[in-house]
Amino acid sequence: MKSVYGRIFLTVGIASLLMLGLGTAASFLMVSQRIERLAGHDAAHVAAAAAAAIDRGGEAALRDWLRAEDARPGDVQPLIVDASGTDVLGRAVPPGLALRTPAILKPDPAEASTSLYTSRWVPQVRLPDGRRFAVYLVERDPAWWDRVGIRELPLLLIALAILVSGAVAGILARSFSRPVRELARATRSFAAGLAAPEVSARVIARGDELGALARDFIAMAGRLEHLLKARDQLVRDMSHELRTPLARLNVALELLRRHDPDNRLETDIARLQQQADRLDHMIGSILGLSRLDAMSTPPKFQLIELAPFVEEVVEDARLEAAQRQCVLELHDCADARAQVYGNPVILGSALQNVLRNAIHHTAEGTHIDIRLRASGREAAIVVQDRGPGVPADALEHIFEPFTRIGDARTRHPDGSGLGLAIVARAMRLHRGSAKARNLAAGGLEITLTLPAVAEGEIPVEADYFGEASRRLTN
Amino acid sequence: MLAQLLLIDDDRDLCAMLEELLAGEGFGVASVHSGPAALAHLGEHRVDLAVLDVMLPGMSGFDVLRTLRQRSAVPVLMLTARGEAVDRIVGLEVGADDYLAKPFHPRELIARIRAILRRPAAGAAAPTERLFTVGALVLDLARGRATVEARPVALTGAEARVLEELMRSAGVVVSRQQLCERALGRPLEAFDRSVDTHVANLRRKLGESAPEIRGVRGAGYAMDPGEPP
Repeated sequence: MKSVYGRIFLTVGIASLLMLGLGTAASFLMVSQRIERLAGHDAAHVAAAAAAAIDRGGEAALRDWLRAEDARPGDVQPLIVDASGTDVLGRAVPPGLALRTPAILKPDPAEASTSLYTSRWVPQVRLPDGRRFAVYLVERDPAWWDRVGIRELPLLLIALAILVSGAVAGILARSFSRPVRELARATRSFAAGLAAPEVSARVIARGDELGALARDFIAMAGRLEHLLKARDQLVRDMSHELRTPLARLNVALELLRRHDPDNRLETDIARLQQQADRLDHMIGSILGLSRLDAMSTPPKFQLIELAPFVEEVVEDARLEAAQRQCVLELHDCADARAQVYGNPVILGSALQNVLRNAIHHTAEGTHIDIRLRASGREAAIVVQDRGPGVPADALEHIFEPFTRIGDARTRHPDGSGLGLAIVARAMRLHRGSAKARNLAAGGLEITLTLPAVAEGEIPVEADYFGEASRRLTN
Repeated sequence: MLAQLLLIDDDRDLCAMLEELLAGEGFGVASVHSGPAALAHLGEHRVDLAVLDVMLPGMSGFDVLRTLRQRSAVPVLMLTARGEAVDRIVGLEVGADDYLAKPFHPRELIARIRAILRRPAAGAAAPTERLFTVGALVLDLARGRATVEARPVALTGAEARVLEELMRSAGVVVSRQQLCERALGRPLEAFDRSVDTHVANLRRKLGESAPEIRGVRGAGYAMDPGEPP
């Protein structure tokens, strides 16, 4: 069936019919055979014969007669049951009959005082001592379903209904929930990383509304991806284009300086230069960011031993730290051996940006602590500065582009507002994360977390890093 | 004699301004605006240093440099796109002597040009010290080439000077700052990987049989002195 509507309609309908059919069949089976077998037999005749035996010789004659009846072949046998539900010969009495018998045997003022009488539609016999017995005709070898009484029939039907409708509902729900779950997962992963959504071919090929939804989703994701790429491309192109006039501006400023030997314009030129520098820095950062975002060619990944790598980047940043009279303190991380799988250039620039941020914000003359933590499947680089920290409500925004915290603009005219955004993108590209929190003692702590790679293991992932991984393993 | 510079950049306005600026600094300056024109000019004129923009229409700066390196060791200063770390590394690998991110400060450009032009003069003062031997590796600065077990190895100017510094102090750690100042003629900057790129290129080019260049973390590089000759 091609549509969800039709599928639900048909399945539920078929299940109902199935239950109805099975229920009817079961009831029919239970009742009809019994009726057929008992047809032609008459309990009243049997009771008359039993009464005749009693009239002949009392209880002993009744027993003899009953034994003879019992020994006769046939589908049907008589039971002669007393008020306690016990057969005269001690044979098995169907539980339903045994239960019913005491009520049937209650004395009735209208009954005849002979050894044979009928009360409450059941033929009964009476011994001379007054003991009463109900006479029944039952099947000799009842099938198991015949043993089930009228009372149990509804229970049986309910159980059947639960079983059938449960199975059908389960299958139906499964056939819908699996593709829906898959779509939900694809949506989440797409929203998180804008990676091409992974929807299995089985779901896409479905002829129903869910298949259409999956195809629409993939089309939408493609369109969205295309738009975002176009946007990034535009930003990139604009930034590239802006660099041409900026390069000229720099040279023109220098020429202006040459043409001003008396330094009368020095202050103005310096102002111009400062703004040109700022523009230059921003353009550089935008390009860096958009490159990480776009990543049309997958970055070349390799195994990186984290400790020496961090040490190297920290070493590089010492020069910059010295200008602010602060010290980068790399705490002993020899025991934190961890390997990550990534692009050293991108990871390096991420860590550089975190360090630069710390250097810019830490109080002059203080320490910046850098620690490495490795635990099982995760490795983390923790950088703590001794600056003013970040207002709590701004913490989650500092990794977004152009977030300005408080008076940051006045303090750091060379900050582009993109440094930490680059960090966040770089970490995302490496399946890691960047988190920030304020330290109780003052200062900001930024933690870069990366998935650690076990010794000798090169992850080959089937996502958009696939190409890079394959290149590496080839 | 005036040092002759060649500007290779498709931005004519920028070239015009740079010509004026550099002429004022006492350089002879010519400019061309495409790769083929640059190669033609370099074939016909004396050029002491070329300033080459990576982003050229048609033939890219890398292609120009690659073609140029097949026949000339003229010093080349690469202008790379800001933030393109890959450009810098590729540029140095292909054989650039140094790089500068564009847009640059003109004073920085002039300083880099002077640094590159100054370099050969340092060695020329002491001709006896122009031949270095460590193990199987011989560096002949006078002829501008190195050999490993008599196998010639083509080196760029910057690579040769880095190698010279390492061989001069074989067995001793030379700091990255020293290497940058002495071999590249300028102070080391924050996050400046050019020395490391040159060393990586040297290791690759010299191969297994040459004395090892060891990296000493946080200190610098040292060439293994090997067996005393």
